[in-house]
Amino acid sequence: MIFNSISYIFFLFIAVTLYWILPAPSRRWLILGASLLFYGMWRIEFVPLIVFSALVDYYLSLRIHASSNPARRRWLLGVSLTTNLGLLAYFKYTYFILENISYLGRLFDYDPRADVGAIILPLGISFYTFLSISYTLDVYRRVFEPVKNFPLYLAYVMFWPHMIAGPILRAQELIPQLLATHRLSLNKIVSGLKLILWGLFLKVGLADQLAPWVDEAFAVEPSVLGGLDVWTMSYAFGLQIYFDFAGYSFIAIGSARLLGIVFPDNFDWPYLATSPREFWKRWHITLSSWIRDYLYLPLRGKHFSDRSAGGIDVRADDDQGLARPIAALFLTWFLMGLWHGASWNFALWGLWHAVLILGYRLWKKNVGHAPLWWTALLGWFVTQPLLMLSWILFRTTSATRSVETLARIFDVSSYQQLGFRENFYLLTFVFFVGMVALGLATRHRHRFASNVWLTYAAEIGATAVVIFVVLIFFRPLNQFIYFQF
Amino acid sequence: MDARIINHEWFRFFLALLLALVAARFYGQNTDSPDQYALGKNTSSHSDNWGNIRFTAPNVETITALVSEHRERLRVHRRDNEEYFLWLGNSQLHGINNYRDGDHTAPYWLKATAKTRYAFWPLGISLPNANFQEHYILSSYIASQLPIQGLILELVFDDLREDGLRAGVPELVPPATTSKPLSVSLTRDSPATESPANEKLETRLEKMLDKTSTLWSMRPAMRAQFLEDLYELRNFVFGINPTTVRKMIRPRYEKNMQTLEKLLADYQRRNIPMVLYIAPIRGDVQLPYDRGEYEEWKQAVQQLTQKYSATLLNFEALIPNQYWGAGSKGEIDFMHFRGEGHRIIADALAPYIGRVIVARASR
Repeated sequence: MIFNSISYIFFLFIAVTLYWILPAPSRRWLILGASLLFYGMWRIEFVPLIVFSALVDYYLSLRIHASSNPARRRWLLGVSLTTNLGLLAYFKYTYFILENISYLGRLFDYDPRADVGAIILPLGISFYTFLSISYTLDVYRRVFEPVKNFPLYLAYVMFWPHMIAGPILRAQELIPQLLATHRLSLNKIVSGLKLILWGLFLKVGLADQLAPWVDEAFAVEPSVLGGLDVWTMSYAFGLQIYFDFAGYSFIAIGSARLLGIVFPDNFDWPYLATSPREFWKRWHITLSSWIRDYLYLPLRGKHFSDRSAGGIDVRADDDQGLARPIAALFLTWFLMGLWHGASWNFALWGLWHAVLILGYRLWKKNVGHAPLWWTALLGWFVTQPLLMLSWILFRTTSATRSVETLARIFDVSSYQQLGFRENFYLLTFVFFVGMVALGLATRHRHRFASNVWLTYAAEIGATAVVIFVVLIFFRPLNQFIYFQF
Repeated sequence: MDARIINHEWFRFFLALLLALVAARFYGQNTDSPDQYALGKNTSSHSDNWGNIRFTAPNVETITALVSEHRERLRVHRRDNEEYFLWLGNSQLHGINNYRDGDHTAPYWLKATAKTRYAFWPLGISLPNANFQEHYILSSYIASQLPIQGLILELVFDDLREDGLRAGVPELVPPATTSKPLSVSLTRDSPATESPANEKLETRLEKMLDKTSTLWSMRPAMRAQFLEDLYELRNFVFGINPTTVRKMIRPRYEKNMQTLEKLLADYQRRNIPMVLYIAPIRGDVQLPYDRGEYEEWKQAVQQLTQKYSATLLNFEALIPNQYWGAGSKGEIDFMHFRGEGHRIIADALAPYIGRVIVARASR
C-alpha cells in the first residue's frame, strides 16, 4: 500500500478511528495488526521474513542484556548483526557481488557463472535492517533496556508509518510512545492532517510533475546532451527526490501524529544549506544521525549520541591527526552510497559527498569561522550546484554513464543547444526559485507574526491551495523513490 | 468573527478546507472538454462512420473498439472482399475547424472517392500530437489485428518535438516490439511495489468515489483545465503565440526519426505499399519552425522514403489560406483546417491510393 493511494486514505481513516475508540491496552495490538496488513497488502510472503528477523533480534537482545560476560555479549551481537546484514546482503547485493566477481573473473579469462534466480527486494529492508541493528546495538551499549514483549517489539519494527522508508526511529524514541496512553485532541488530529496534506502536495503536486521530465532526460544518451541540459537534469532530479522523500516523510510523521505519536523531523529545507555539513544536518536527518552514531563515530573511536536529531553534525576539531578522520569519513560515505543502491554510481555519489565535506573542513580550518552574511551567501552559491551535480551520480544507471553525463558540462559549445522541451527548464527554474523563496519566508515568518490576522489569512489561503492541488492531482501514479532502497 | 475561535488551529483548517472545496466546485463547473484543450476553441474532434461502420478513431479507447469491430466483421465476411488501408496522423486528421453539417474528415472523403470493387476502409487512426514512437506502436498493433494492405502516413514536423507514450498506448505493444514505457527505476533489483490485491482494491475504491462524488469525478477535467491555465499563464508571461518559432529538440527528433525508419522498414519487409505526405502548413502566417531545421527534416524524410521505396507527397501548400482554422477570438490555428481542407487532402491522395489498389488487384 503506498501513501499516495485511495486505499491508504481509507486504511488510515479506519485505523485511526479504531485506535481512538479502543481502550489504551488494545491499541498496541491494533497498531501491530494494521502494520501487518499494511505490509501484507504488498507481499504477504515477506511478512514471515520480517517476523523471523525481528524474533532473532528480540531474543538475542534479551540474552545480550542478561549476560555480563563481554565475550559472550560480543558473540551474541555478532550473530544479530550477521543475521541482519546477511539478509540485506542477500536481497540487495547478491546481483551486485556476482556481477563484480564475474567482471574480475573476465579480466583473468575466467567466466564464473552462478544462477541465483530472480531476487525480489523486500520493501523497506534497508530501513528495518537499520532499526534492528540500532536496537541490538543500543541494548549492547546499555543505552536501552530491551522490551520483554515480542508483539511490542514487532510493533516497533513494523509500525507502518516508518517501516518502509523511515524516519528511522530509535527504540527509546518510539517504544515508550507505543506504551503511553494518548488522549484524543482535535488539534492533534488537525496537525496530523495538515502534515499529511503537505506531504501529498509535495508528492503529487510537485515531485510527480517533475517525474516524467526527469525520466525522459535520464534515458537520453549522454553524448547528445548539452551543458545546460545536464545542469537542468541535476536540479530537476534534486528537486524531485527532495519533494518525493520529504513528502513521504511528512505523510509518515502526520500519520503517526494522528495516533498521538510524535516523530522527529526528517527534512529541514536542505537546499537552503550554506555548506555540505549543514546540508547533512537538514537532509534525511534520521538516517544521517543513524550513520553518525552507529558508523562514523565508532569508526573514529568517538562517543555516540542516542537521538535521531542533528544529522551528521560532528565537530571537525580532533585530536587524532588527519588519517583516521579522513579514513572514517571516506569509508562512511562509501558505505552510505552503497546503502542507497547496489551499484558503483551510488558509491561514487557517497565519495563525492565525502570530498565536499573534507573540502569544507579544510576551507573552514584555514579561512576562519566568521558567520558573515556574505560568507553564508557565497557558501550557498558554491554548495548548491555541487550538491545538485551529485544527483547525476545518484540517478544515472551506471558509473560510466554518470561520468559521461557530467563530462558534458565542460563542453562549452554544447550550451547553445537544448535537449528537452522548454517547459522542462522553466518548470525546474520555477520550482527551485519557489522552494527557496518559501524556505526563506518560513524561516523569517516571525517578522510577519505581529499582524495576527495577516498570519491567519496567509495560513488559511496556503492550506486551501494545498488541499486544492492535492484534490485534483491525487493519483497513485508513481511510487516513492526511497521505496527502492 | 469571534477572535477566540479563530485562534484554534482546527477552525482555521476547517475554513481552509471549505475554501478549497468551494474553489474546486467553482473551478469544476468552468472546465471545457479535454478535446478542446488539445484542438483549440473552434476545432472539434470527429469520428466517421460508413453505414454504421466506424472507420476513424481519434483516441486510444476508440482505436481499440474500432479494431475489435472490424475483426468481428472479418470473422463473418470474406477477407478477400475487404481492402484495409491504415492512415496514421495527428489531430489534423480528426480535427475540423468551424464544423458545419456535411463536414467529414479526410478518410471519409477518400473512402467516398476511391474507385474499388471491394469494401475499401481507410482506417483513420490519429492521436493529438502523436509522435512517431506512438505511430510505430499503433501501426504494429493494427497490422497484427487486421489485414492491412496499404499505409498512409501524415508527417508533421511539430510532432517530432514529442516523446514517450501516452496512457493506453503501452498496452497495445505486442511483446518484444519496443522497450518498456517510461517509469521510475533506479536499481535493477528494485522491489515489486505493485500488488494485484492492492491494485484491485484501488480500482474498486476509485470507481466507488467516481460514482458517489461529483467533485471526485470532475477531477480529470479540473486537472486538464488547471494545466491548460498554467500554459496560458506561461504564454502570457513570455509572449508565446501559435507562430512563435519552436526549436527542434535534437534527442527527441533523432529518437522519432529512428522510429520512423523502423516503421518503414517493417512495412517494406511485409511488402505493404506506403504513401507518406508532408502535412499542409499555413502560407499566410510566419512558419512556426526554424526554416533550416525544417528543410533538414524534409531532406531526411526524402532520403528515408527513397531507401524504403515509399511514395512521398508534399502537401505543404495544398490548403488555401481561407480554409485554415481560427479560434473564437480570431487567434491563429496553424494545425487544423475546415471541412473543405479535409476534402482537398483526400482528393490529392486519391490518385496515388488508386494506383496502389490497381497494382494490387493486378497482381
